[in-house]
Amino acid sequence: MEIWRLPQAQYVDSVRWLPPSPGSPRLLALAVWDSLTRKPFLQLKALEENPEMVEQQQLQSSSPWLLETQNSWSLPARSTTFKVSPSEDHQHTVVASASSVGSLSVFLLDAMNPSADEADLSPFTCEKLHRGAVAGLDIQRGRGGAPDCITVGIDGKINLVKVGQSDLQVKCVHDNHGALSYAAACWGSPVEFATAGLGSGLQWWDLRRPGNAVAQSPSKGVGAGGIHDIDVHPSRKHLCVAGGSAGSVVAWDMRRQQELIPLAGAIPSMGRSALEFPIVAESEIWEVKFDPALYERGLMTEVGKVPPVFVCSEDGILALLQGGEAECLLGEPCAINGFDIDPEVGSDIFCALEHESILYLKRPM
Amino acid sequence: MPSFAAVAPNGGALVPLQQQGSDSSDSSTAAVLHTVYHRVQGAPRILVSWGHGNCLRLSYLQQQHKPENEANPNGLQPAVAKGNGGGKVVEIELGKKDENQTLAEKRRIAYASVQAFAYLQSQQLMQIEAPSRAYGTDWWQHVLEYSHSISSALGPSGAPPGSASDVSSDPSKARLICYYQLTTVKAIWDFLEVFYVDKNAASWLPERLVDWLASYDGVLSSATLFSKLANLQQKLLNLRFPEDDEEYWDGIASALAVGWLDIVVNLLRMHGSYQHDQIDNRAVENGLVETIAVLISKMPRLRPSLPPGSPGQAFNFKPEFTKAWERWRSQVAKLDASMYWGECNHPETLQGLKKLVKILLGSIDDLLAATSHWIELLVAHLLHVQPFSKVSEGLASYAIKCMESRTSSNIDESASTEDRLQELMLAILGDDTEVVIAECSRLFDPWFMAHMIELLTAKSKYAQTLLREEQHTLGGISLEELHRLFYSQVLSSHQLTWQLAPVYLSACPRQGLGMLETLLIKQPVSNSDRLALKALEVTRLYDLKAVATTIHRVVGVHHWKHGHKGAGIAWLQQAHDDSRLSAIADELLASYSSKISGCSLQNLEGLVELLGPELHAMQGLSFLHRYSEFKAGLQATQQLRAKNPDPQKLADTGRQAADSLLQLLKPQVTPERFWLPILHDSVELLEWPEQPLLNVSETHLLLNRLQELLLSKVRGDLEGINPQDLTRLPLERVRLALATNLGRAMLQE
Repeated sequence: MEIWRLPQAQYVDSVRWLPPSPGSPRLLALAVWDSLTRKPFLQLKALEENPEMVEQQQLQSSSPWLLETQNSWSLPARSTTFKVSPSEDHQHTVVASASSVGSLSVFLLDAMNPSADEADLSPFTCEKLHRGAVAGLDIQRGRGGAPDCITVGIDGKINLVKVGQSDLQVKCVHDNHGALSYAAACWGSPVEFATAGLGSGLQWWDLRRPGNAVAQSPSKGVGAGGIHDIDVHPSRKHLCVAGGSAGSVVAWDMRRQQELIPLAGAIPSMGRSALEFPIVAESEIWEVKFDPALYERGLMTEVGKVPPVFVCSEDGILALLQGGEAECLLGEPCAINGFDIDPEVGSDIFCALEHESILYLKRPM
Repeated sequence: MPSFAAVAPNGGALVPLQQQGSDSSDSSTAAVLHTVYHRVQGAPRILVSWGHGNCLRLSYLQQQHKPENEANPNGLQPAVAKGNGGGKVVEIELGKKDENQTLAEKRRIAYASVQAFAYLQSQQLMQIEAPSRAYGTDWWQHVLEYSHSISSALGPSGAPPGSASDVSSDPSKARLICYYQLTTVKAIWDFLEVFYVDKNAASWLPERLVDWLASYDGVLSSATLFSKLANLQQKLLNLRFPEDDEEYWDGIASALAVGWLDIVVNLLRMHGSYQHDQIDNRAVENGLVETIAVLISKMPRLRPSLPPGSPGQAFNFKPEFTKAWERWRSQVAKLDASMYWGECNHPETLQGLKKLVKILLGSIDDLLAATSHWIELLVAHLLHVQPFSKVSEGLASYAIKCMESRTSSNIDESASTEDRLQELMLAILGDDTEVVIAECSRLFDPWFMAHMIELLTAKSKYAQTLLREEQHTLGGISLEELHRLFYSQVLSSHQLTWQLAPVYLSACPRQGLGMLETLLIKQPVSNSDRLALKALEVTRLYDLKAVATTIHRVVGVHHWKHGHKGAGIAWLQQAHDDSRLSAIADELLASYSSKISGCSLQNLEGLVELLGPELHAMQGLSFLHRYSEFKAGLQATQQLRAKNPDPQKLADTGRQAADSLLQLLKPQVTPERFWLPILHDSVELLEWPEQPLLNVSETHLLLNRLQELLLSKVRGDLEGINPQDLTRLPLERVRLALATNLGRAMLQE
């Protein structure tokens, strides 16, 4: 495994791979924040090999990889959650950033040439979608071709935002008026999605059955700070994984809704011996994601086992949880606030750190 | 008495003001961040507070003009309407921007060095707790490890231009620029390491200095051998016969003087006589050049090892070295007296090679001519004149001698920072710790001071007492703690680095804990839950339970005030703030009881899930738990019935549901407003097909509740009950079910 540090000029709130497009370099979308001017930006960066590397091997600090800024657009507010998805017709790449003041900005980039010079490109923005910060966001190609965003917030609202050709159409799916706070959302199918948050456990929603959640997991099993991120398995839609406080990572199988399967964590109240599942991190788990490499290569995990899951944590851990064991990929002195795995092979991982730097990790496949 | 501003230089500014742009030269053009409307009486006021980093936040409250219409208490502030009584908040960026190092770069170094520092502290703790276990490794070896990791965080090590690693590629400009970015910080850091940490270095100090000089010669001053060689390297690209040029020979002599042997050998092999068409006519000349090159590449060096591929022979054992060196020196002397010199037809080559031989024989005049900086001269001296001397004591006096012979020759070339650097290096050479500390604090930033102290105290007992003694003049803290506190203040002031400050504060025995608590409590945790969780992580690591409680409470109250009821309760529960929670419970109940809304109970159900069993203690909301139990019981019976199991089990679950129903309807558990939906839900239990679930007395209790409801309806004070509910859930339906059940129960009894 190889690791490179790529210092950046701005603080990186979030980093995402763009869907691959033929003929253009591999692109990353970054939600960055300039701590000096306090302005947030969306940046497109191309991952390129450092041409000077061959003759400069003696300089340890210079990395063989360069992130060249291709384009940069200013964001209306600092991003709290940030997602990228291809549109259904593959004409566009949808980049959505939700902010700490409750707004959502959606950029529609040309999928064939995302870095084309469109300096005047302004995002579709929807203000005051939530009262307070938008905590969770997910995009998918919705019914009828237009991409759908689901946004959830600490105010207990769940919004469905349709990205039209010229604007955003907002529909409130659910509003509990702050009785519960949501922290994460993830699409499961074109009409179904999962949410999670503070104390609410995981919930499964179906747009065809409006009103309340169609399924609800037990709320115990994650730390007191609640769940911070969830992921639905791309091919096994009944399987969700969630990461939260006290290093807890749990899986939720829709076929057995009454139990949460602990994958990692350090929660004494669970009443299980610590030996049964590993303690990866003792702090907050900020992001979780099923390992895309496995299903991209058509491999299957054993029946009845939870497929491998990547997690990153506040105490600087990036780990792969697999079959009751944890493989620690990184142990940084500072928090890893987010990561993304490349959608093609699943070997290249970028991590956003606590200062102006990102980590590029290439694992052997 | 003149005012401060009049006498102070720089217009009275102690800290330079950062200019916003080229055209806005005066600070009054700073952008207004907020405009404040206020009702502060009295004279205009200026409030000064720190923003993040070097930002100074100035709030100016203008004088309050008497509102014209004071009798209007609820009108919009008249002063605002008139544009008076406003205030402005501006931010001014203080401090000079460091051109060489961006703030992001500084933060990168801060994050890269924190781990080494923390590790060293934990090593120290281990050694204090169990000194026997640390047996085998001396403390200075831990510090050496620490020093290496900090040094590598500061950037890659350099090498002089033309050295072996460089010669293979063509000398691109980027290479040189990279080299210049190597800061003096790293140079001084490594210098300190040689003298203060590495005990092994003492036995081969001259060679350590050679290595150090090879890495950092370029940063010492603008006119050193480094720049000379860099120029030569550029020039050589276009020369076919470099030996005709005097600079070529000067360059070789200089490199030889300071012991960069690989450069010397490389340059010598560029000699024109090596070329195929020349070798026939210049055989003797070439022979001499090659002999010198071979002699140089066999030069004995007193050091454990040499980097692979570099010329010279390493000897670790001193007697062996002495023997080898004597033999080698005699070979050089023999060459000096050789007959072949007379046959050399190329005068420049003859002169140049003779100069090299003189340097190898330790001719002071040639060494003086070949070097430019005093430390270069010192190194040359140690290498060629006194290779055996035990140098550690007399080094400083040597250095001063070298310096004097240098300054007399070029007295005008020295800027003030360079002077400081000289002073500092002299102090390090002379083991003058006080001066080292003083000069370092003048030259470098708090980062350097906080980390450098570990180097000074690695093995020097004197430095340990000097730095670790608690001093009355510093308010009872030691110099070591002072510098750590100072650095952690710098870290605390920025939102991207405050998380590093606890590592340094925890190493401060006197004031660290107090400052850490202040730092955590001052974080704007209510702005984002993420920040709050990050602060809580610090409290967990350092076991600061009281601070954690405060943070939980602050965030909880913030959420509650902003209508995030669930989040608010969850955070307050973490704070174990029972008084606030019970107040909230009362408020919550009151708001739900009075709200005209049919689905409010469903919303409450979610809250109950969140609140967990701890809430049983809270009188106001305990009914919520019982209600959720009742609902769960009802659901269980429905599920069981659908599956058609054995009737006994079904009856048991039904009975459980009935028990929770009775618990709910006990006096003073459930607010009256919720009785109707609960009673309506109970119809299913009352009309249990198999047998009556409730006995006579229990049915009477339910009937009583129904009666009270009816009375309220008649009186018309059904407070909080939606009239629609009454029509949707008719009381008669409940009454009928109750009556049927009563009958069945009586029959059964």
